[in-house]
Formats: sequence, C-alpha cells, structure tokens
Amino acid sequence: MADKQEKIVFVLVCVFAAVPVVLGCLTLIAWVMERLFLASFNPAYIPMAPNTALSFILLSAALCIAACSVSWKNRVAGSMLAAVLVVAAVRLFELWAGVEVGIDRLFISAVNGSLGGIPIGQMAFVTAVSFIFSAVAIAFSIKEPNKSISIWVPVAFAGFVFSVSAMILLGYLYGRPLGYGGTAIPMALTTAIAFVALSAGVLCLIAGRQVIERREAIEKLRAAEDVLREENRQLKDIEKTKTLFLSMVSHELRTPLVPMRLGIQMLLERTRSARDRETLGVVLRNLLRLNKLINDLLDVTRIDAKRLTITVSEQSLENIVREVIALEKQSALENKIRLSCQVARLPLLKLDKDRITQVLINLINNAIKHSGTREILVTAKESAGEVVVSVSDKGRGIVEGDMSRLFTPFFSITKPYGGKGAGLGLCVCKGIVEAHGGRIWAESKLNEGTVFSFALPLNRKEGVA
Amino acid sequence: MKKTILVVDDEPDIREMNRLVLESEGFRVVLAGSGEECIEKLKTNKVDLVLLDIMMPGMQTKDILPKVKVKVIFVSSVQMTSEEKEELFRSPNVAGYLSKPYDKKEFISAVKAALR
Repeated sequence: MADKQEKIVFVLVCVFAAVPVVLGCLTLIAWVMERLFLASFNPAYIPMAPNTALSFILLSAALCIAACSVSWKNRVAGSMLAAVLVVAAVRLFELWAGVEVGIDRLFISAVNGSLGGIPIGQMAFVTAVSFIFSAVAIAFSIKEPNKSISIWVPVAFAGFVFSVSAMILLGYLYGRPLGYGGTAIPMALTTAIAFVALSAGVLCLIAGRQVIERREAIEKLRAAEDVLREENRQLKDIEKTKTLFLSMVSHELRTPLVPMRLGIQMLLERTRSARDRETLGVVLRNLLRLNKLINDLLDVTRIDAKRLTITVSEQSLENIVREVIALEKQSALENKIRLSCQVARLPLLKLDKDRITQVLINLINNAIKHSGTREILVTAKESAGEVVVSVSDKGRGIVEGDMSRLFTPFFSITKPYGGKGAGLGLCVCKGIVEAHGGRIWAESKLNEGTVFSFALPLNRKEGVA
Repeated sequence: MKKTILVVDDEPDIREMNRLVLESEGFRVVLAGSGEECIEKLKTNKVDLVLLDIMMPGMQTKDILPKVKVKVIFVSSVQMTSEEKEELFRSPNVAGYLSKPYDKKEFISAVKAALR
C-alpha cells in the first residue's frame, strides 16, 4: 500500500522535474546551435543562461533521486547539489565583487552579446539566489524524512523560490517584468517557468511524504485497535468461563453437603453420649461454615459479573436489626461479648430482606470473631434521606494500610483485626448494599475500635446491580 | 396409614439419605433417579408427595410437572431468584421449596406442611 503511494509521489515529482530538464536542454541546444529563440521563446525576452540550464538539469535529477528510495541517493544527489551551489555562489561573488571570474563561460563558451543593453548568457542575481535556496530545500528533503526540520526547511525555501519565480512569471504575463532583482540582468521567462515547476516539485514531495506518513500512522492505529479489540474479546471470554466455572463448582460442592448435613443431624438427635454430641456439633458447625463459604463464593461471582439480583419489598429495618440481634445473641454470649442495639423509629424501606440480613449478620460476625471486643453496638437511624446502620466494636482496630482494601475480594485483614478467612464477606456486603443503591464504609482507630456502616437510600431508584 | 413420599434426585447418596431421614420419621419412601423414572414410579405406586430436584440431567422440570398429580416440593442446589421461584409456584400442586443443603428440621416441617 505504502509502496504504491510512494510510486505515485515519485511520478508526480518527476513530472514537475521534467519541466526544468526540458527547458534546460532546449537552452543548451539553443546556445550550441546559436538558436537563442529556443532559450527565450520570444526574441524580445532574454534567454536562459547556459549555467542556469545546467543547474536546472542537475537540481531536477537531484530532486528525482530524493523522491525515490535508493541507498546511494545521499551521495549522488549531494554532489549534484554541491555543484549547483558552487556555480551559484561563484556567480554571486562575481556580482558582489564586480569582477568576472568567467564562470558563465566555463562550460559553454559561445556566450556573447546583449539584448537592449542587457548582457545575455549570464546568470541573474535572483536566479543565483533561487538556486541556492532550491539546493538547500532539496538537500534537507533528502536527509531523514521523518524529522520536522526536513519538512519546514524545504517548505520555507521552496516556498520562497516558488513565490519569487511566480511573481516574475506574472510580470512577463502582464508585460511588466517585475522584480528583476535589482541588477542589470533580469531572470529569463524560461528560468521563471523552470523555477516554478522545480519548487512545486519539492513542495509536492514534502506534501506526498506527509500524506503517506499520516496514512501509515492511521493504519498502525487501526492495527493496534484490532489487537486491543481481540484481546478485549478474549478477556470477556475468560471472564465468562470463570463465572461459569465458579457457579458450576459451587453447585458441585454443595451437593455432597446435603446427605452430610442430614446424616449428622440424624445422628445428633439419636445419640445419648455427650462426647458424641460435642463431636458431631463441631462437624456440623464446620459443614455450615463450608456452606457459607460456597455461598459467598457464588455471591462474589455474581457481583463480579454484575448479576446479583435483589428482590425488594417494603420492610421494617427495625425488625430486621432486632431479628438479627436475637439470632446472634447466643454466638456473642459464647464469646463473652455483650451485643446490644439502639434502633430509632424508621420508615419502611424497599429492600431485599434476606440480603440485608446477610449483610448485618456478616458485619456482626466479623466483629464477634475478629475485633477482640467485649461489646458490640448496632445502631440504625435516619439521616439526610438515607438510613444508616452501624456496627461498632471497641476492639483492636484496623491498621491504616488495610482500610482502602477492606471491600476487595480475597483480601484478608492483617493483624491486629482478625486475620483468617477467605476475604469474601465484606466484598459480598458491598455488592449487596450497592445493589440497593446504597454505600458501605468503615472507620477505625487502633486499639479503640471499628465502626462498619452502611447507608440505604430512602427513595431507591429501581434497578439491579 | 403411612404416607408415601417419592424422592427424585440424580445423586444416589442424596436419595439414600433422604430415605433414611424420612423413614425414621415414619414415612414410606419410593426412590427415583430421573424424571423418566419418577413418571414410571408414579404409575406403579400410590404416592402422596413428590420431592423433586429441579436440576437433573434428562427430562426437565417443566415436562415432569404436568404429569404429577400429587403435591410437590422442589429441591434446588442453586439459589433461585424470586422470579424463578414464582414461575415454579405457578402450578397449583407445588407445596414447598428447599435449597440444598437443607436443614433436617426445615425438611421435615416442609414435608409435614405439604401433607397436611
């Protein structure tokens, strides 16, 4: 693709470069054959000088070489440009110093005569300056095409040459040759045409390169976008597989618990031995713990996949708090913890009773098991359009570094607050509370205690998380 | 007269443990390992209640249900959303729902409530 575009630019540049070459060749023939009409197109106009013609041929060749990608272009084009620079510089020196070195008779000696008092066959001042500018423009366009200096230098220099020669051309067209350069020798019509074409060729080369570069950049971006899209798709696939895997595993893990639980409960009821009852009690408790772990794992999977659905109905949060306190009282007592609550009169809330109960049980259980507190206070009150439920303990507190990661899955709080556990409970709590349009947070001071709170909006917008 | 309960579950150990529990509570128990077997057993036995696992390979619950004329308790090992439950409870002979692993007391009281 890029190759084809490069070829198009090359052909365009060559078309432009062909104009000065043709004019230059005609001029050389004119001087050798002494048919000056070929070098001026009009007997009233001055003809192009032989050195100008040679310089045009060299510059055009250098421009064509610059436009194609060959390894030897720097050396060959460089020496062509150097030759042109030398000729133009010597001519400028002649005009400045007012001496005749004879540079205009160096290659073709048949230079003689004048036209209306103007000597012909000598390079004009403007022409010499334009050659230096053109050579610089071409030189910069050859080296390192990706640098910004190889864009703005050729554009500025070729632009200057283009404007000057176009102005002179306009002068010829309107019969008043303007801007002849302030010297006795004006620029020939053919020279002006050749310069317009040559500088247009340089500008065309730079513009073409820019277009190609843009296209390539866009193509690269597109390719990168495709890669990203593919990777994104793969990630989604992995996510789907993970969700499927976890829900399958949870289902399979739960199945063996059915006969185990029933069997242990049957034996518990049947046995008369206190020792057996104690043993079976431990087994049953651990079985339930395993079950809770599986449930949490499933919930985390659902929250992760944004598939946790809640079923809301009007509920009294007051009653829920009291029920949970009654449920947890025994467990707290066993751990020698005083569990109490302060619940204000609250309006009915639209919530999923089972899920909010689960959150509250989780928070209270964490405080019982991990905080090292002797008392736990559960409060519920209305404030600023929401109901805030807090579970506070007077335990060891949570270290600063853990606070920001409390609610991320598989994160277990480091000492002194608790320690073991899969790190799923709080993550599930967060998912449930957020599914209700609420928020959950924690505040803690080392050795003073921790408060876990969640707030549910009074006017919940419908929606699931 | 002993009430007869048909336990339908593709897991043999779950069937067996359900039988032990129900028999110890004084029920007669018939076992089936699939929906197809459930239909067969219903033809050859006088059944008062079916305990039906809703996630079994083979015949699906929605195809089994219309052929069951007695009371049914659903058993599921995945937590169902309330819409899914509603869908199931739409048929008139559905008497209860248990999620695995269910508590023995909860199990027995659900069975007794369904037979009342």
